[in-house]
Amino acid sequence: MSLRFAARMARRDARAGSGTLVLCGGAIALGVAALVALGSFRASVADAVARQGRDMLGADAAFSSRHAFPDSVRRLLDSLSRTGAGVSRSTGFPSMVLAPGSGAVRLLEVRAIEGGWPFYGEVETSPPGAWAALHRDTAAAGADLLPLAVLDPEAAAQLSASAGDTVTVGRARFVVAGVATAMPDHPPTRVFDRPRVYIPAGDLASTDLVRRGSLITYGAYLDVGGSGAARTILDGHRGMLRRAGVRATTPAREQERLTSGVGYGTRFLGLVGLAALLLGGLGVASAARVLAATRLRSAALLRCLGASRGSVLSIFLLETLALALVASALGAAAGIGVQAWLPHLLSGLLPVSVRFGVHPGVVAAGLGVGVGSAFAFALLPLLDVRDAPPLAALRRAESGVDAEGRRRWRDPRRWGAAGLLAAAVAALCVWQAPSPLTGLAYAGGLALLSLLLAAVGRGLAWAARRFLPHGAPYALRQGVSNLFRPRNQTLAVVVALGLGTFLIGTLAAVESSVVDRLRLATGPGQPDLVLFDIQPDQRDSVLDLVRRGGHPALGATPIAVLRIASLNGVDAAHLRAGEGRRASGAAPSDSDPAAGQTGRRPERWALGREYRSTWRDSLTATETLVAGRWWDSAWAGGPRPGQVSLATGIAGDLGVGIGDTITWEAAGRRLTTVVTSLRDVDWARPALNFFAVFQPGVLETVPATWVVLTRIPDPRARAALQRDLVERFPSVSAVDLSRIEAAVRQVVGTVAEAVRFMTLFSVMAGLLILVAAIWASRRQRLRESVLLRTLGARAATIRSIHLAEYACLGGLAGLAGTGLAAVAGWALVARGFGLPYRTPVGSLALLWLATSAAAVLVGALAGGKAVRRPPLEVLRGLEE
Amino acid sequence: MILAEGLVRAYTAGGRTLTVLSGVDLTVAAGEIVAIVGPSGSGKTTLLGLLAGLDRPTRGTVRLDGELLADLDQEGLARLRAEKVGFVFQTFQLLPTLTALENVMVPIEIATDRAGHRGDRNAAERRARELLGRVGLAERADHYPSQLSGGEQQRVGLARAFANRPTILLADEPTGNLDADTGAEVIDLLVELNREADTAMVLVTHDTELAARASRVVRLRDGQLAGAT
Ligand SMILES: Nc1ncnc2c1ncn2[C@@H]1O[C@H](COP(=O)(O)OP(=O)(O)OP(=O)(O)O)[C@@H](O)[C@H]1O
Ligand SMILES: [Mg+2]
Repeated sequence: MSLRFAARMARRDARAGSGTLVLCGGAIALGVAALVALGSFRASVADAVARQGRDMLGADAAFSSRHAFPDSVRRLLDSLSRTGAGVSRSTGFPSMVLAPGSGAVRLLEVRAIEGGWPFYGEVETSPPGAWAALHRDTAAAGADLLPLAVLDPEAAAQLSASAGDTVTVGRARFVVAGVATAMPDHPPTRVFDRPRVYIPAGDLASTDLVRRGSLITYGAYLDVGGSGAARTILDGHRGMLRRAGVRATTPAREQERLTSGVGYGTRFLGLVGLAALLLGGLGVASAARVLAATRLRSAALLRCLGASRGSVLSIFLLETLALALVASALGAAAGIGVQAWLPHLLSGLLPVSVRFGVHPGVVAAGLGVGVGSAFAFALLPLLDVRDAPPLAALRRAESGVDAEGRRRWRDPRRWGAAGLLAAAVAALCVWQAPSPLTGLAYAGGLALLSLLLAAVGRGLAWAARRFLPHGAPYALRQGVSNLFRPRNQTLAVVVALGLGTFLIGTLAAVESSVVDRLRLATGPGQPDLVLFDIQPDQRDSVLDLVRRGGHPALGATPIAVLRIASLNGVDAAHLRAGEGRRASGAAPSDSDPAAGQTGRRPERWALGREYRSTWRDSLTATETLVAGRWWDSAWAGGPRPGQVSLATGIAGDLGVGIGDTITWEAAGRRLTTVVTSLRDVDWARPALNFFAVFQPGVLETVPATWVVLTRIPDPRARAALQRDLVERFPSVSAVDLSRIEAAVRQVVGTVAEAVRFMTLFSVMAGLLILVAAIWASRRQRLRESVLLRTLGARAATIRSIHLAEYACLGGLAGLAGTGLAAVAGWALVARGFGLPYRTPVGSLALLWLATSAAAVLVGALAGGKAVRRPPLEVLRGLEE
Repeated sequence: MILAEGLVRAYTAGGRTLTVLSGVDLTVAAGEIVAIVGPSGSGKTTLLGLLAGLDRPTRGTVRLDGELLADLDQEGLARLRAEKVGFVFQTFQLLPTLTALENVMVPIEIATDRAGHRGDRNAAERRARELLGRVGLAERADHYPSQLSGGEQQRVGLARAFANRPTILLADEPTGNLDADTGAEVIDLLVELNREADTAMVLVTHDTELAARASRVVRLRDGQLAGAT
């Protein structure tokens, strides 16, 4: 058997055109478009990141640390610089910046960079030359002149400042030399990044902000003559850098971090887009079923004339694949176009500016996936034509042809085809998903959802027929029973429309709960301004300032920064470094002092992290005590150590429980505590909560800063207080929670918008499948309506029948989709995010109505034609 | 050409066995036309299906051109049909998505496909056009079945049946769906084509006129064949 005959026959058969197949091909095209758009976008981001290369950092490598570099690191930098490498030091910290001209105050990131950075790439400013001017020796320019500053565009916008304006940072004033339009190591401002102001390193001291307890990031940029040398240095000193708490990075690592971040995000979107492709596949399966049914007689005849089973199957398989190829090509072309729109959609979340590009690999993958999924979905239904019984050719045309149905379930080919389909869907999901497990979970979820939708759709339709009162209007009864006509596509339509509805509904449910949550977090009674970095001696004056303005001071909380020095007497460094005796296979034993009450190994990150902790004598409303006693006065373990209460999660990660001792270190001082209680903390609720809370009287000797919360609903009063604050206490920072809320809202909105956009593909695919189903049944519909009209039915009656049928179809699909969306919304919000869930009944009801209306509209448009055609013409056309 | 011996075909449905054919012997020589007549439901189509290898007998054997059908699997039977058997159906059975010409070409294409060589498409088309000319439809070569009348469709069916120069031709009520005049026309063609190709022919018919043109008429009754003039 060669494919030549099959190909020729396929071409001839395609000439007759299968409208159903073409429409479902459209659904495949939509799926391919979604995937190609995302894939191209991802590739364009990778291209953009790769193009930046070393400009990414402006250096071969960069160090950063939350502490001043220890001697070991300083020695390394010195030796590098002696051997001719470029070393550029940077200092950065958050600070309130005031623009006296506009009166705007913002919490910005202040950066001072000394040395020759950037070693690669250029800083472009408007007006030009501002960056160079910034680094010219200010002393030489004259003592009476103010030092210069460069703002990034977002900082300039937030401060309403431009070149020539003055800004105040701490105790110092600067003149804005220009706005940086392009700068290495400075991604386009993203929502959660603090905008930056650059000042000369020589003027750092004059701000009076660099001192103990400030949130300073120390950095260094290296120019060592290439990425190879940089890697050698980083690898050679990895242990030392880790011990010093220094994060080292290279352009390559930054690139990978950025592309993997975008990759991760777009892959999640890809899963949403994949739903469109799978719906397309479902449509193709459904269309293939119709194709097989209508061509079964032809297949039987070809078998009778001596064609082999394989070539008969090949004919219709080739026809389907050729169509899928054309559809995929169109979809890929559309996807390339859609790609141009994605950066716009995701603006504010992207690390680089993305250029439009056509990526042959992505297009090829799109074509392959489109054709491959069509093959996987069409094979099973098309096996029917392979099994067309040749004897049927001898029988009467009216008697219809059935594939040899009896033996279907025992046919290994059918099982093979079903297995292929399952494997293909799983492979597609894994390929598109951020991780294989997510992909498999998604595939399983979709399969379960389709089954549920199918079951719900079938059940509801069955119930509609079963329980429809006999007295119901004729049109309604007829419409409902139309759902069961032979070769009906009720199932495909319910699943397709239902899935589309489900996706929109779930998104709406999640989005509304998250937005609700935001509103609650900043609602009445909640603080909207957080003042932090308050030194102990400033605390009373700051509280005074707040109260004098007539604003409530919603508590003042001390915060001390601690690290863990040892657990139950075993050095933390030892615990972190050695996988210990435990790792060598010995079981935890009572004699192992590091084995806490829980017997679990402490997690490395939990041992190494900084603990921002407080002390207080009462629990907050967001905490519940689950073990031990809150400041146990009767505690008599050891020589009166202080008591500490841990959050349950961190206690688990540290592997400690009640009675274990933890020695903390802060500012060179050590203090030993015993765990006397465990708290469950509801982190999702807005409150100042801490992993470790100390008994009052334990931490007071450790340097701490204070946080003061207040609520000032009037934005002007809020701004005024911040101005007063910055003038009197320049080192105190303020975070306007309404700004954070706006930022979160923007991110949630952008993400939801992007997901909605991808959902659109599925919705359109679902509608196409609905149209395809109507197309598939048009002959029967025509014949019925002609018959009814010949029997004297009014056109209006026939119209109502169609109306009832599509209202049922849309209504059932919508009900199933929204119902399951409510459940999924609950699962995601309540179980997944741990937020309180409220079913958005209103929007889901609206969605249900919209789905039903869409189905009725499409049905009415299709049905109208059948009603208008004159019966005689129709009868003639029906001769098959 | 055709050698059937002791053919029995019984259907079991709903626990009951219906014996349609109970021991049929039939021999048809090359160039011979055998007409099978019999009341509706007597098993004529069933017999034809067995002769063509479309169905397996419960007992008995069929040899076509020397090949024992029982020795062949489904694919072997299909090959045999493609090479040696032509069909004419009561309900014409043209492929609705193909033109008249393409319908006639199908058996040739299937045979060349089986032979695994490219085949001469031009030769196939010439042969098909010639046959369409023989049945008087040269002008309608590019028409689809839906654009042809019943008689015209059956003439295309005849052209298709002879396309591959079959050594055996099986026809199930070829005139059953046609009026008397058109039926007569089709019968003339059938006999003429048979004479040219020296084909062994089995016709199932109710049509006395057609039966009268046969070399032999056999009657099927109670599952048995009874010879007649
Ligand atoms: N698959 C089947 N299962 C059960 N019985 C069958 C089957 N196929 C045919 N029969 C029965 O076998 C008998 C013979 O059928 P057949 O079609 O061969 O008759 P026929 O002589 O061709 O009749 P007609 O002149 O009406 O075409 C009928 O009674 C029919 O019901
Ligand atoms: Mg019959």
